[in-house]
Amino acid sequence: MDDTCCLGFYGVLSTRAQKKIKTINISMRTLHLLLCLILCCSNDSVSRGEEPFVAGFDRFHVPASNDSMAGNLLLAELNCTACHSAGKELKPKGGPNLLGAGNRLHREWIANYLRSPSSEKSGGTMPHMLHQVPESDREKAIQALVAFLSTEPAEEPKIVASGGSPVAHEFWLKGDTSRGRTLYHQIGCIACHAIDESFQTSKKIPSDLERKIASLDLEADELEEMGLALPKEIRPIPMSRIEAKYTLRSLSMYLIAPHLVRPGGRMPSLELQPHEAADIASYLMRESKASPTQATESSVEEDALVQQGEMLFGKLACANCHASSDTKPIRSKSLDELDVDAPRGCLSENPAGPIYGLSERQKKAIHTSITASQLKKHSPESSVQKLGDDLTFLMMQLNCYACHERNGRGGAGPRQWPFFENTQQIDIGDEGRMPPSLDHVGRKLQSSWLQKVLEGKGDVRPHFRVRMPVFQEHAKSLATFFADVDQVPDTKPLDTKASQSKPENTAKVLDLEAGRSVMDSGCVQCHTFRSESLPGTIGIDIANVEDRIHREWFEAFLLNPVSLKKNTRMPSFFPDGKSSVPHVLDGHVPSQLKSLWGYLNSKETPLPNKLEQSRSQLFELVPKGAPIVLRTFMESQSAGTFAIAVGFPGQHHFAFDAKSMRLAEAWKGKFLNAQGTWFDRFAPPAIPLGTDRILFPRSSYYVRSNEDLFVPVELSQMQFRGYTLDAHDVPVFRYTVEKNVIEDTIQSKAINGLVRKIKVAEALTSISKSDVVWLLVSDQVVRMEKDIVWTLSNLKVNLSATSERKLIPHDGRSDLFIMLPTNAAVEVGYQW
Amino acid sequence: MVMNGDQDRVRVNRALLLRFGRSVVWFSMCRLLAIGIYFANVHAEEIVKATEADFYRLVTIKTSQASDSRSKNWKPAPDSLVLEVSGMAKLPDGRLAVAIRKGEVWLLSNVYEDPPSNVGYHRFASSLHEPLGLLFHEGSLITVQRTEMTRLLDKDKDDVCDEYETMATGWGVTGNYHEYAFGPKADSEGNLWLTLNLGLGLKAEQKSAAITNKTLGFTQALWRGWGMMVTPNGQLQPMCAGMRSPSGIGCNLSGDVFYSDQQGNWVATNSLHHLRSGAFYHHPESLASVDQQGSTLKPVAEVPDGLPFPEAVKKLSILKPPAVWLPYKKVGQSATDIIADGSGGKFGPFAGQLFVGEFTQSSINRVFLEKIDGEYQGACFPFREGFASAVLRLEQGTDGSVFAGLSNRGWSSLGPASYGLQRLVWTGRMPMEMKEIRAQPDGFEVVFTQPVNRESASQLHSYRLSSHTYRYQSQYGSDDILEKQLDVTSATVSEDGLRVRLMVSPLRELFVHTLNASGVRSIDGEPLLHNEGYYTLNRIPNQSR
Repeated sequence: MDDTCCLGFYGVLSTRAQKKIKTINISMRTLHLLLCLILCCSNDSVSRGEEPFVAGFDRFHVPASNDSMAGNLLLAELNCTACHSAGKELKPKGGPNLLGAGNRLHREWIANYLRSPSSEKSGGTMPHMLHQVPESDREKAIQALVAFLSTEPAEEPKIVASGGSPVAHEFWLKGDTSRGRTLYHQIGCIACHAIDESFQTSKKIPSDLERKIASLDLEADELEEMGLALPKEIRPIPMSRIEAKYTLRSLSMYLIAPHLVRPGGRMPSLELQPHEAADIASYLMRESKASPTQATESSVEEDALVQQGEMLFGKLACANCHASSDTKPIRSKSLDELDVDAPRGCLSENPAGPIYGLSERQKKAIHTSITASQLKKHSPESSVQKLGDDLTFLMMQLNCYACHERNGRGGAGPRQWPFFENTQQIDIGDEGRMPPSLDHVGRKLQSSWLQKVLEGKGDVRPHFRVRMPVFQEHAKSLATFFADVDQVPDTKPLDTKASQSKPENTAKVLDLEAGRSVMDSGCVQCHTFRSESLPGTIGIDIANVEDRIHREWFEAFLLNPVSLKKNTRMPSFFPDGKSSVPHVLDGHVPSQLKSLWGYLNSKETPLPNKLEQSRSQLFELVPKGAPIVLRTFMESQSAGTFAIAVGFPGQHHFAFDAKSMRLAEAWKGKFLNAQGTWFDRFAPPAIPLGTDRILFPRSSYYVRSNEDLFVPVELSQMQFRGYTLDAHDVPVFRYTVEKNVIEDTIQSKAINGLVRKIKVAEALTSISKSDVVWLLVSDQVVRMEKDIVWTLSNLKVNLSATSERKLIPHDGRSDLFIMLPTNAAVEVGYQW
Repeated sequence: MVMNGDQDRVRVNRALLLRFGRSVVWFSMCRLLAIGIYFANVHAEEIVKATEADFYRLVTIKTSQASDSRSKNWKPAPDSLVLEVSGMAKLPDGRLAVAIRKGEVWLLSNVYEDPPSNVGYHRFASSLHEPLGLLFHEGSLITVQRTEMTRLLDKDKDDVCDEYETMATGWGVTGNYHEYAFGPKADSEGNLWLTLNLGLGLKAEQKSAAITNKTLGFTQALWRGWGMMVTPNGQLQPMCAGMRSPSGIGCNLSGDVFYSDQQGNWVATNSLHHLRSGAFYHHPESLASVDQQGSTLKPVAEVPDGLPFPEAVKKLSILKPPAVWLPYKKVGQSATDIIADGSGGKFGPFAGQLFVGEFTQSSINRVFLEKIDGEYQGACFPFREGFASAVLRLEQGTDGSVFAGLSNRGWSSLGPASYGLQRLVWTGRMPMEMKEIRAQPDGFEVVFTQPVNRESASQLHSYRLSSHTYRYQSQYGSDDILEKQLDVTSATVSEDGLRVRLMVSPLRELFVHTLNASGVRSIDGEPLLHNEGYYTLNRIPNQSR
């Protein structure tokens, strides 16, 4: 705020400096009074300081309009109706919760504030109340009130730390001013509060309007004629002298949960993490030269003083605005009974009650509004219009208009535009960085979703730096309000009408694959889907769109985007109502829309092709030149948790189970996607991407207990020893089975599939006949010709002519074993 | 009372000098308008309290852009080495070997450069399954993957690993994501230690790959929650149990091995434990393996749930208290790696002490240990915060500086990055710190890094002491319980001004004793960099030492 008058004078001095100053011969206070006196003579409005600042009034009703909304806004926001009831209408904003204020805020500040609210906070809405106490008693009264406000402990949000939620010990002391400055300018504080002109945004992206103006080369008046003039600047909501008022702790706590202190909800929560709150607090308190220690040493307040304070709290009608369990509000005349021209009324030059420092235009607005209400001169409105006005009124109260435009009103001011950024500073127009317009938002969004958004549980724009504030206490009413005002048409989706006329299309409308194709033809270029997006794109995630958006709006928007969003960059994929993908569902538009809708809301369907491709480009392992080895979890019927997957350029791949020393699975084509193994916290099993998957038997090694009985070697008798990469980077597995050290090499041979070579590299002790192990080469053998074996699963197994083999009947077919010679290698080929 | 914490931020010697200059200029303009402009210049020259960075400076070698660490679709920054550091080992040739969670080992050269503008990155090994440790031992690098301990050999000397030798395997792996395997670290006898994280929320299929202790009803895979040792001849031996998330192992300078645990069910807060045969630390699900061959623990009939820890220790004979409890939030939220300062002073005044990495708060904490009746106990202190991401791994470089390996994927941490590598360097300036807190029969002896201002250190109100313990319970974590304010009855400063002997009553065995010494100033008037230390008083010594 502009501190143009002498009231801003103390603002540049620290509290400590002030103390020091008091010791100097000329009392500052005297000087101050002197200066005020001089200035009072000069300029009436300056001497009073700023008028109490009400954002909706300041922006939309200056110069004052004649409708009663302006005055009504002041009546509610200045808490006039806290004393002068207006029935159910004009619920007063209410003041901050003052319980424990003396243990939150610097008591000296509270005292100063009570002495003269407007000196401490220019433009503040707290009226001067203490002038009602005779001057001789005033200081005592102030001390009593401060004592009373220090009896309760300060209320603080409960902050829970966990592995997912870092909370540093005494986090409020660990804020960083520069980080706080960045946050303040990026996450939305500046939509309402003052901008630091020296703050540099990372990149200046012109707004859509600026771009348009620049392209037109017109004079200012011509632009204005065309309705293209830049909107007027928004004045910021004033803040107190924060460093004199708060401690780092109380400010951080306030920023985390503003509603605890200000239940009226005008200051919303930006869902700050504790360390973010500390950063912003540190920034806001950067000027603080005063010791940021405890507000005031907690002291045992004198009972008598506290009692006097409590009495005054009631007597001065503090409880009318500031919630108190023990003190009852004092009712004054209701709005209808008021004499607006009373000589010592609130609107008079010399009010007996609260002094607000109202400007003439504010007085006029209030006057108009009360008079109108008393004469019941409300223009006869339709209930729909009244509903719309009430919504506008509420949006002004909550200052939704600071960010959002609706029906041509509001939206961020031009000075604020550059501060709305997206995380990657990609220029996709206002839509890509600015809070959205709320035109017909009730028609667009499900009110349940809107409520979630207002409760801070629905964020579809994680690429925005600015955060949608949480208006917890107004969430439900606002959501239904929008729905009622925008009157969601209860129209049926296009396809219903269409399918009546074209029954032949009903079979196709559930075609999710068609929806996927439609999505591939356009949406994925900009939109995220199930958290996946093409590289370099940012956009709203359109998965589960039915949870958010009415289908009627969705279809209308797709058919003609600009009809619903003026400057949208969303292209029309249905120019002139014709589909741009005629090969999908015969180009039948309603069916395409229905399939798309179905696909967007489906759960288990594959990602759009382009997203799949993009994902695989990032994480698919494609063997080129040399084999690729990946140790990973695989499914238990495959190689299990001890899997070693090996992919070959020759396109035959396998997985080895290093727990049971067996070739577990082989497949062709694509190898594996490594994302799950590399980067997924939940370590999902890797699933072969390719085709023709062959699963091998559960065990590899057997000992022969008698002629026809082969018993699997126990796991405890086998031990994996690792692998060596040979000259071609093919892994040579090494492990022990019984008393043998075995080397096992499996590789892809272009035509032949996989070729496995097994060699007993050494015997740990002398091998007796019973120690000889056999390899189960294949089960489910259906046919055997010389050295070639066919199995039920079309696997063709090639044996070397020299290997000693044995077919053992098993489950109606046969298992084929070969003996492992102790001093030679055996080779087995697998083709399929 | 509320807000006392703000005192930490007190700027010292406030307003040493307060100069006040002013000038008054009056303008008079036509008619009666007069505007007074009054310049008031206030210079408050103050000694601003030193910060950690004044003593320990962070050098960033490489950090990522932040990303949502808990997202299922987590992706690394594009086109760069995903330096999610999960293990580090300094090599004799001056390079730093770095294991990354993705499963690779990289050799980094020129890492001591400042600023580090010529760091070389060379891939040495790949295809590892989430290696969570790296050790250079007897000429080669050794890591622990999810399923085995692996030696990485370079037979053809081309600086690329060509043999992945399995040194030990055999613990249970059901496929549950939480079954991490950490290590190794070598003790003074050349044994290699590793620790096995418990599974968390085993699915039915995973349970079928686990074992169940019938008496207690706990199901976990074999040796989950156990500390394991691989002997020089390759034997894998289970040694001790009761671990939850033992993500850090480290030795002190005597070669005794410690591990850190993280708050959760049965684990009241983060803790530091001496690894030894037959010990049980907290989490009873590890007892699923208590009857298995090789177990060092006797079967347990019942595990008490909900008792104050000192009572639980009496009731459950195998339960060994941690050498140090790390009070939640005050000394971190998720403890990780452990190193001892073996630099002999190159890393500042804490030679021989342990440093414990901290995940969630992206910081490092410090631990002083002493042996009372043959058992380790001691105190912990905050040390340095402000790393770019979760501190998962620590390694002391050849120059005494400490490398911090960062990665926060899966959880959350303070700081702007998701992963990376930073180095912490002592600036040479001596911090004013409580270096040690030592137990005495009737109180504590505090050793400072600098001589104290005698007046401040002998005043009783310069100190505040309290003690508390935790609940041993199946619920997640524990509040501080049975908290009590303690009386300081005398404070005696040693002749050299480095030690203060505090008589304190009452002392309570097995309780954590919090000492706040915020009133103490150094001989130069400097306040403590960190006001509080937390001593885990498992045993009260019989005689002064």
